[in-house]
Amino acid sequence: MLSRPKRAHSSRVVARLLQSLFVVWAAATAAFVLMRLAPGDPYTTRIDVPANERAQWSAQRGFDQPIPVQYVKWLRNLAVGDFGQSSYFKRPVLDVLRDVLPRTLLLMSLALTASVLLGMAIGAWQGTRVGTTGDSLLSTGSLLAYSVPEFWLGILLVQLFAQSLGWLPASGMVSTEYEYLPLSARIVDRLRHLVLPLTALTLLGTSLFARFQRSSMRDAWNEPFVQTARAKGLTERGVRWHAWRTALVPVVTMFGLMFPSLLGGAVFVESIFSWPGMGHTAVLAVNARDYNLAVAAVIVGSVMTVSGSLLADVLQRAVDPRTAA
Amino acid sequence: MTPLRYSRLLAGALVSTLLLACSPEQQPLDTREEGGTVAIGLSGEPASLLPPLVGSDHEQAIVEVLYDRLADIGPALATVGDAGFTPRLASSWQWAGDSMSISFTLDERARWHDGQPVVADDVKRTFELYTNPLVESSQAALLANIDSVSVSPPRTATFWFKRRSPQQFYDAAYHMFIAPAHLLQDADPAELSLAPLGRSPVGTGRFRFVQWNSGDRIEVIADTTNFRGRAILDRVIYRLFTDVGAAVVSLFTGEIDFFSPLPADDLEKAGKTPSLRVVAYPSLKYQLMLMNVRNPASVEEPHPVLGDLAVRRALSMATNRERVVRAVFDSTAGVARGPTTGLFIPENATLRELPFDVAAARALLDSAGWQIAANDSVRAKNGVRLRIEVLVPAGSPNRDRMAVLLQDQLRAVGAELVLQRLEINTLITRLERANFDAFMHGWNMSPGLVGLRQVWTTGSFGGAGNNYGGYRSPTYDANIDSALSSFDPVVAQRTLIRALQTIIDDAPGIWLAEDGAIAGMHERIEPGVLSATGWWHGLPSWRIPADKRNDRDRIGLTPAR
Amino acid sequence: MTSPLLSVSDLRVSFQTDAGVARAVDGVSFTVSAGETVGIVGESGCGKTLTALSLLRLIPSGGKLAPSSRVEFEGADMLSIPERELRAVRGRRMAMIFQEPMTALNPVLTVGDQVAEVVRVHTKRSRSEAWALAVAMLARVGIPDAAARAAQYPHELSGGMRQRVMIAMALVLEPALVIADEPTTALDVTIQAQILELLRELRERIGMAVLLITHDLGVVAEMASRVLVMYAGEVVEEAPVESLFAQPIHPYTEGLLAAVPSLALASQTTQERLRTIPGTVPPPTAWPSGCRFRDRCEHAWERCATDAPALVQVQPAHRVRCHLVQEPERRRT
Repeated sequence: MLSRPKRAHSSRVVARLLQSLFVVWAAATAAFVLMRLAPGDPYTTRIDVPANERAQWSAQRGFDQPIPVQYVKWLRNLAVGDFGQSSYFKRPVLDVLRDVLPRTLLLMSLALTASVLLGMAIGAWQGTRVGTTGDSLLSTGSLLAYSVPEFWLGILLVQLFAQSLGWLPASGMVSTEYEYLPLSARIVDRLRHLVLPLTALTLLGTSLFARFQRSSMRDAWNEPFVQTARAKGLTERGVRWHAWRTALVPVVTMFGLMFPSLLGGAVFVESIFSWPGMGHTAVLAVNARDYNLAVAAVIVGSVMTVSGSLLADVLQRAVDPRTAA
Repeated sequence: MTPLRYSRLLAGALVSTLLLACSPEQQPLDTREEGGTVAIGLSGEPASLLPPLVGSDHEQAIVEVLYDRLADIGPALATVGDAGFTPRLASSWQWAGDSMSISFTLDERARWHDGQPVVADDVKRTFELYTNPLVESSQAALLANIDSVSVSPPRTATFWFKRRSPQQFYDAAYHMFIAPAHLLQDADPAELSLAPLGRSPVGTGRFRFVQWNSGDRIEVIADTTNFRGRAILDRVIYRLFTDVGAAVVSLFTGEIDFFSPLPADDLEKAGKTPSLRVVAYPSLKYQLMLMNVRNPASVEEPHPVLGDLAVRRALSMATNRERVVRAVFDSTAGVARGPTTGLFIPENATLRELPFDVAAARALLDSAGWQIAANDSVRAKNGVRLRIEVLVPAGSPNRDRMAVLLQDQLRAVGAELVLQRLEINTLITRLERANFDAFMHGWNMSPGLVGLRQVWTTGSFGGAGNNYGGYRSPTYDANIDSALSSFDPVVAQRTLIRALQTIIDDAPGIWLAEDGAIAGMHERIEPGVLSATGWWHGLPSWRIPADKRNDRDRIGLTPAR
Repeated sequence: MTSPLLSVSDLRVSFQTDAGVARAVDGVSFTVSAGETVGIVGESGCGKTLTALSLLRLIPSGGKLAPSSRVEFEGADMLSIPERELRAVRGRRMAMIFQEPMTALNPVLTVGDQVAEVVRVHTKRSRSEAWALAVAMLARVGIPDAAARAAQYPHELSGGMRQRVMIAMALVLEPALVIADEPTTALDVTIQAQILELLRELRERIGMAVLLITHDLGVVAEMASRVLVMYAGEVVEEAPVESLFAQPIHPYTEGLLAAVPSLALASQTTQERLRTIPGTVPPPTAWPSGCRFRDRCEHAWERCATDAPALVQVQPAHRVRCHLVQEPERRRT
C-alpha cells in the first residue's frame, strides 16, 4: 500500500494526455465530417447570387472535393497551426478566436468562481440544517433559479434592472460613450456591464452548486466521523469543517465537469446581453456553414471539456486521498 | 445639463462623484448647424468593409457612408438611361455616339481619406475586383453587361458594354463603390478579405472611418474637408449587437439612438416612449407564399396539386390577405398586389387582383374536380389529396405567423397546409432542388427590377436564377424581357404591366405583404427622408438641432482618450 | 473511595417518532470511579450506546434529555455546563473510542492530523509539537513506523491499525475516562485480542477509567471489574464481574451468558439452554407494561405483566431488576 514507483505515475499522466488529445482529434474530425454532410455550404445563404455562380465559388475553394481530400488538406494545415479562414467573418479563424474567446472566458470564469464559492457556502450551510425553515427557503429558491429557463432569467433581469429601473446597462460590454470617458469611469462602466450577465449566469451556477453541496454536505453530516470530531472537543465550526472537507469531493469534481457547459451556457447569455463571445460565434458559424470556424469552435469546446475533466481529476486527487493512489 | 446615465446606477453616489470630477467645464451653448453624435444599433457585426465584399445590410450601411458610387440613383429609383442620377464621385459623364460606352470624369476635388487624389485607375481596379470570380462579389452578376473599363489619365474612366441596354448607366454607376487602388496594389483577389483595407477602410465618403472594436462598435466621423461638404453630424457610432432583441432593448434604454427595422411587436411601446420617435419609410421587400408548379419528383411534369392553375387561383382567392398582413405586421406593411412592392408598379397601372372570395374559390375547386369525400375535410382528386407542405424558415417569426394564418384560412376551402419549419441551409437546399410544395418566401427588390427576371422567368429555373417554383410562362418571359430592355418608356411600362397581370393571373404565389420599414430613433434626431434603398442612404444630412443636443452629442470630433 | 469520577443518575433520553415517544434510555444510573473499568452489556437497541453518547452530551438530533437526568463528571454536570466548558472536557478529560474505525475516522485527513488535532484543540502546542505528540502516541498504540504512518490516510491502513489510531486519538491527552463503544466489534478475532491487550496496557500506564460498551460478555470478562446489564433502556442487573458470572440473577443476564460459547460451559445453570435468547427487543416506542423482559422470559408470571420491578440490592454491590428476587420460588428449573 505504500506509494507506487514514480515512473508508473508519469506514464499514466502521458497516457491521460494522449487520451485527451485523441478525444479532441475525434471531436474535431466528427465536426469536420458532420459540418460537410449537413445541407448547404458556406455560400448557401447568399441566395441573391444564382446557384450556378455559388457552385463555382464552392469549387474554387475546394468544397466540392471528396470529404477525405478536404480533410487531409485541413489536417495538414492544422498541423502547422493554420486553422484557415472564417468564411463568415472573412478573417483568419485564429483572429476571430482571439477576439471572442477571451470575452467568454472572462464572463465564464468570473461566473463559475462566484457560483462555486456562493454555491458551496449556501449548500454547506444548508447541508447541516436539513429540514429547517432556512434550508427549505433556500432549497425552494435554488430550485426556482435552477428550473427557470436560462434565457427567461436573462430577459427578466434586463426588463427589470435595465428597462424598468434603468439601474444597469442592458447589453454590450461597454457603453456608447466608453471611449470618451475618463479612466476611472471606464472601469466602472466595464463593471456595470458585467453585472447583469454575471448575475444571470451566477444565479444558475450557484443554484446548481448549492444543490450539489447541500446533498453532499448532508451525507457527510450524517457520517460517524462528524460525531468523532465533536467528541474530540472541536467547536461546531471545526466539526463543520470536517464534514465540509469530505463533502468537497463531489463538488470539486463537478467544478471541472462544468467547464464544457461554459460554452453552452454562454450561448444564451451572449445573445441576450449582446456579449459576442465563443458561444454566440459558434452558433453563427454553424448556421453560416463556416466550416473552419465551426470546427475550430468544436476544438475549443473539446479542449475545454478534456481540460475540465483533467482538472476534475487533479482537484479530486487533491481533495480526496482515496482516489490519489 | 441632463445628468449622464451613469448617475442612475446603484452605486450612484460613487460614480457620479467620479464623473463630476472628470467631466469637462460647462461649455457655452453650441449653435452651429454641424454637430451631434448618433449611436446606431446594428443587429450583427460586419465581416468586411471592403466594397466588393459587401454582402449584408450591416456592411452596406457603413460602406455607403464611407465610400461613393460614381453617381447616385434619384428618389424615383429610375434606372433607365441616366435620368434622375446625380453626380457623386463622377462630376460628369459622356455617352459614346453608339451608346456602347460611357466615359465618367471624376470630380477633381475628390480625395481619399488618406489625402490621395481619386484617379481613374481606382475605378478600373474596383471594376476588376468586383468582377473577378475569385473575389466572390454578390454584385458581379449585375455587372455582367460591362465588358471592361479603360482609363484616360488622370480622371476619366470609360465603361465598355457588351450590349445596349436601358440599364447601362445604372449598371456602371450604381452597383460599385469605388475603392482606392493605391491601397489594394498587393491584394490577392482570392484572399481579398485579408487586405487591411477591409477592417480599416479609406474611402471618399462624407464620413471617414475612426475605429472598429470587434464585437462592440464601429465609429465614423465627419470628413471635414470632403469635396461634397462635411456631413452635418460629427460622429456616428455603430453599436454591434448579437441580435435584434438586444438592440431594441438598448434603443429603449437610450444606449443607442437609432434602430431599424423595428419589429412590429415593439411598435406600440416605442410609440409610447416620449424620448423615441417612430418613422415609417418604404421598403423594397415583399413576402409571399411561393408555390411549386413542378413535380418535385420530375421537374418537367406539373406538380400533382399545385400544377393545377385552378388550385393555385382558388388558394389565392381563399386567402384573406388583408387580414393576414394586418395580423402580422399591424400598420407597418401593405398588401402586395403582385410579385413586387408597389414602388415599382407604374402609377397608372390597373392590375386585376384575384378577389378574396371563399365561395368562388370553393366553386373553382369543385369544378376542377377537387372534391371533399365523406368523412374527410380535405379535398382530393383522383386519389391525390389537396395537401401542401409549406416550408417555413426557422427563426422568422413573421413568416411563421403568416403561414399559421394561411393554414387556418385555407382549411375552410378543404386545403390542408402542413407547416415544415426548417433550418435555413436545409431549406435553401430543398428549394434549389425544387423539392417542396410551397415556401414562405421574402424577396428584396432592387431598383433595376432584375428580380422580376431572376425569380420568375423560365430561364431562371435551376441554377441560373431564383425561380425555385419553376414558374413557366412564355407570355411573362416575353413581356419582362421587353420591359427590361426597351428604351421606350411607354413600351417598357406597358409590357411590365402585362407581365405583372400575367403572373397575377397564373398565381404561382399568394402575394402577401409589401413591407414598410419602421425606424425607431431618439426624438432629437432629424433624419430627413429615409430612403427605400436603406435608412442609411441620407445619413450625411441627418441633423440634431443645436438646442436638443445632449452629452453624447458633445463628444464632437475629439479623438478617444 | 470518595466521590466517583463519573456519576450518572436517572438518565433519560427520548425521541419523538412517528410511532410515538421512544424512551431509548429510561432512568439509567451508575457510577464509575477513577481508574475503574465498567462494562455495559446488552443487545443492540438496548440504549447502551446512547447512554455512552449522553455522557459527552452527544445526543443525536431529536433526542430529548429529561430534566431530572444528571451526568456528573469531575464535579461538573455534563448535561448543563456551557458548550465551551463541555468542549474542554470532550477529548481531553473524557474521550471516546468509536466502534467502526473506518467511518469514524475522517477519510480525507491524514491519521496524524486527526490525532494531532486533539492536541491542537485543547492545548496551546504548535502544529509541529502536536504532530510530534501524535506520532509518539501512534507509536505508543503499537503502530510500526509511526512517523510514516501518520502521514497516511485511513484507507491506507488495515482495520486493526485504524482502531489503534482511534485509540491514539482518544488517549493522546491521557483523559480521566475513556468510553470505548464496541472497540473490537469490527475487527477479526486475533486483532480483537491485540486491541484489548493494548487497551489494558494503556489503562495501567495512564491510570484512566474505562467505560466499556459491548454486547460481548467475553470482552467484559477480560476487561471490566464491574458490569451493568442493560435491557430496553434500563439497567436490569449490576454486579462485580465475578459475581455476575458466578451468580447471574436476572434471566436476561443468564441468557446473555448462555450465548457466549466460552462462558456457557462454565455456567452451571445454562447447560441445556439455547444459546440465544428467543424473541427480540421490543421497539422503544412500546415497552411492555410491567417487566420489559417478560415476553422473552421463561419464568414470567402474572405479576411481571402488571408490576414494573425495581432495581433492588441483593448483595452489597449486586443489584437486580427482577421479581424473582422477592419470589425465588417462581424460578423454573
